[in-house]
Order: sequence, then structure tokens, then C-alpha cells
Amino acid sequence: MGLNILVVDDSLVMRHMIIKTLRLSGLPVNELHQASNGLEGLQAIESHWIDLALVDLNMPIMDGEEMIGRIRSNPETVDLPIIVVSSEGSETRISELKKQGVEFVHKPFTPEGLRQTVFNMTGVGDGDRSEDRTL
Amino acid sequence: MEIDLKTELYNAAMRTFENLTMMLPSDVFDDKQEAAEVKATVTLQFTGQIRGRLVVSICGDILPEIAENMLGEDSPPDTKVQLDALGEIANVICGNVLPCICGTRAVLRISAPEVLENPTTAMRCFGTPAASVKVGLEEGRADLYLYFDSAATTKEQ
Repeated sequence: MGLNILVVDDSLVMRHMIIKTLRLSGLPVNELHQASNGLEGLQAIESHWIDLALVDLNMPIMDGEEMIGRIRSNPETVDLPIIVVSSEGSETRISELKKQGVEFVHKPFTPEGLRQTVFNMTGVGDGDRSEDRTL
Repeated sequence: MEIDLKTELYNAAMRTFENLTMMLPSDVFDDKQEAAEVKATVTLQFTGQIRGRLVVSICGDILPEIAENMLGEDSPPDTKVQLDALGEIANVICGNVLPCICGTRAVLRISAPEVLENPTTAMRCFGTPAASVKVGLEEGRADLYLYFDSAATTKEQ
């Protein structure tokens, strides 16, 4: 059984790049859902069973930090594995996010880096595939 | 410590274009690249310890190929998606250059990218850029301009 993954990013191009990376990474992916901001992301979580969310930070309407805060304050989603995929470079901001149990992947990312982080968060995947191309 | 803004902006741009667009950016231009006209421009603002904006222009007919490469598709996407690709490039460059300027402990917010329909007019209002660089890409180039609203450009650490 594969993972149901939610990708939240205001850039359609970046969502496609992340989804393509996930599909090529060898990870067992079942359903892939997309959202273009935090509010849409929360709605997707209410509507579908999600095993993992990959979330950008800087988004209109609702940013990633607020979305993650709401996920963590909801008893039904408090343990949802979340990976922040962002160009954010502030260690202060990243550290605050990690306190909420999220992992961080910096843009531009490598397929191997993203795949390994997904593996670390979910325990799903064989952990030994490698691709060198950076995205 | 004195920060070489131009070098930091150039390095962030080179890394981002190389990694996101699968193109080999260059700092050497041929006549065609030099003469390429601006085809699309986006800007995004940042606020926090420092305030300002980054402007990224694509010159020459290379934006369709850039977007195509980013998506890994065989044909160029429509104009809206091409501009989305340019906005994401600007976002990643900005996210990577700001910690080099302010230090990694500073917290800055980056706005959503905005397309500039009349970049020449708009950029007159932005004042004089603190740094600008040009990056050669295939048969065109990217022009980048970094503006600050204040002069605070020192690292915290």
C-alpha cells in the first residue's frame, strides 16, 4: 500500500517538480493531492486520508506556518508527518518549525535528499536509491 | 564584515538557474545574448531585518524553454505557467541570497512574486539597485536587481 501525499505550494511549477521527483524516486505513492495555499491544504486534509504533507512556507491566503500550527492543534492530525520544502534560509524560523516535529528540505533540493527525508519521516521506501540531479 | 552583494546575488542566481532550469548559466555573453530584449519580469518584496525587493528579468526567447525544463516536459507550457516558473526562480534566488546578507538568524518574509507589465517604469520607482547582475542563459540572459529600503546590510553573526 502506497502513501497518500499532499503537496502544498503556491507555484504550480514547483508542485509539479516535487510530484515528479516523488514519482521517480521509487517511493510507493498511492494518491497525490495538490493545494496552492495553506487553507486549501487543510481542506484537502479534511477531505482525504493523507499520510504525508509537503508544505511550502511563503504562500498567499494562508502560509505554511499557520497551516502547520492548525494541523498540530487538531487532535486528528497532530501526528501527521510534515516536510517543509522551502527556500527559507533563517535558522531561527527553521528551528521553530522543527520544534513542531517537521522536517525541512531546502530549495533547490535533490531528488535523493527529498526521497531520503520522506523515508526518514515515514519509514516507507527502500532507502538505497540514488539520483544526483538537483532540483 | 563587508558583504559583496553583487557576488552573493550572482552566486545565488547561478546556483538556482543551474539547479532548477537545467541550463548552464554563464557570465560571458555573446552579441545575441547581450542584445536580447526583456521579455518577462517579476519582482518580490522582503521584509524583516531589512526591507527591499528583488527583480528578475528574462531577456530573449528563453522563458518557454526554462519552464519546459523545470516541468520536465517536451513542449513549453502556456504563458501563465512560464511566469509561474520565473516567479519560483525569483523566490528561490531571494531565499538563498538573503541569509548571505542578513545572517541565518534573521527572520525575513518574502512576498508572492508579482509580474511587472512595465518593468522600466516600475523600476524607476524602486530607485537605485544595491546590486545588479547579468547571467547568460542559452540564447538569452537573466538580469537581476536587488533593492533595499534601508541600508542595514550587516550580518548578525
